[in-house]
Amino acid sequence: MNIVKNVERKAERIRVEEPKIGAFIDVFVDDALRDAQIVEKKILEGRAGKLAGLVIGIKNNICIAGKRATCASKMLENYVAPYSATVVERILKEDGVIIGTCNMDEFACGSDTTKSAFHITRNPHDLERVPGGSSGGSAAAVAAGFVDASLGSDTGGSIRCPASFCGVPGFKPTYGAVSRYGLIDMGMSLDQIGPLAKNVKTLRILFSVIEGRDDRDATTLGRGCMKREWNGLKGLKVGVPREFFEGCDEKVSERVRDGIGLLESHGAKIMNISIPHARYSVPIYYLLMFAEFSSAMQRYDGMRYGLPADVFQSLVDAVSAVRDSAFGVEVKRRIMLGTYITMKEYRDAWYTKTLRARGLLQREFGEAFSKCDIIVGPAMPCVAWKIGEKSDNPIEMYLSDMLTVIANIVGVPAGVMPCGKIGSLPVGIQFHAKKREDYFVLDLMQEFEDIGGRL
Amino acid sequence: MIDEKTLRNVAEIARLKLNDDEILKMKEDFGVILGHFKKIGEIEGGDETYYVVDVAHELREDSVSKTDANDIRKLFNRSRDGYLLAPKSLE
Repeated sequence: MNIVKNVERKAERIRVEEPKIGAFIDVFVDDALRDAQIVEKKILEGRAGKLAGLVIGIKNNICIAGKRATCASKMLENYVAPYSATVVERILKEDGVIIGTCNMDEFACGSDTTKSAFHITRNPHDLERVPGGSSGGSAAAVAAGFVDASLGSDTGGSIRCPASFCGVPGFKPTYGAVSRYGLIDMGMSLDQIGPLAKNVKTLRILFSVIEGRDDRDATTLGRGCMKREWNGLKGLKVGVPREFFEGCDEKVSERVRDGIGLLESHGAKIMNISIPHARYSVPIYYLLMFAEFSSAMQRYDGMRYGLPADVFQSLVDAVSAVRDSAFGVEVKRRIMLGTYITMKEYRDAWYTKTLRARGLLQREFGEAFSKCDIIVGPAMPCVAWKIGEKSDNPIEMYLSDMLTVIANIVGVPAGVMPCGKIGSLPVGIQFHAKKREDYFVLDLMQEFEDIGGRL
Repeated sequence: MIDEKTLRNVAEIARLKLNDDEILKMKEDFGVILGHFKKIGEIEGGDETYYVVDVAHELREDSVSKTDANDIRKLFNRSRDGYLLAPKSLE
């Protein structure tokens, strides 16, 4: 399709449907139309990039030069990014057209996008329900047809949870596969930027554009992702950990087991395995993230970033006052917990213990991968909940992340595919592979889509 | 159970000015969340793992790139006569 027409069509859809959904923080149709005309010209001249023709949304914690990067927080409400993230530079270089910035939970703290300081995002499949989070705007924008693809960030499932709830493919790359330069960080050892898209083909193209070594992010993988050869489902060893189904809604388990059955019927070899420390995934993840998050948030002091501090107060009073007025409840809660567990008196009992548990879980995952090629389970233990249902109960919200946080703790790539519905609500199946085998996961996702794994 | 005095100390270190109601709510949340997470204490062994990839220290070229100091000043919330304004840190 003509890219200008594609942008116009998307813009019209946004105009009509966006007031109901709330997927975006800022929409820039004029910029998108201008960029589309340039790309259209390049297509005619036969020199267009890999993303020519695609309309893309960017989660609002990823910097685009000259646009607001708010993290859906009052703290950064007026912060205009002075430079673009590496991923954004790469998208623009390959002629992707960016149409807007996507809503999220404040500083990515949440699993349902009800914790944005600006407005909530609704699930396009059921407007009374949440889209998942924290990249809820990125997933809802794809599901509502506002964009062809989007970028999210995933610290403990923030791409895969909304992908599951909104019924779209979503992918969390290997830690270090994609540059985090220009991502406003949440948990530095856990964060990865990744794509969501209308189909796996688009997902893969977008990933191939953003991945790779970046000198501005020292944690990016020097040798990049491996291209492990995909030989189809026949003989593929698929590990199914029993722990992944504990605490999972019965109907969700059924749909996911149907999905696994589909793989088996096409020749995959299903193996029942056990990853005992997966039972500790929620405490391990949250304690790690609290510690890293409280450290990452120190920079919001009202001087360089954030609302202006009162320069006539003492330093501590001025900084504390800004942070108190501009951070939401969940952000404060996480900063407090992270500060507490890393204090000298409590560190050994909490943080050090957690770092050791991380090592154990990583070892168990490595052992599991010595027996199988892929590890499969549900993405979320439930379908999208009603707006407000989990607002006052942080622990209930945290527990819903039990299946997505594992990939971040151990650093492996994980992709989510739609796998049937319960009523009108999508269910997601999740595929993990070894570190650096990102394209292998994407190959499997493509195959799953081809054999009928969808809504 | 974490007492209010400890929480006020944590809040000061975290640079959060929490009022009495917020401290009470935080006390309740700490109890529920850490009460649930204390099962981490059951885990034995394991190596302290900060990062899950082997990050080799790859050095980059020692090259000069140009930055305009004014661009950096503009990022600051307040400035005067070319200086950056911040609250006083000494009484």
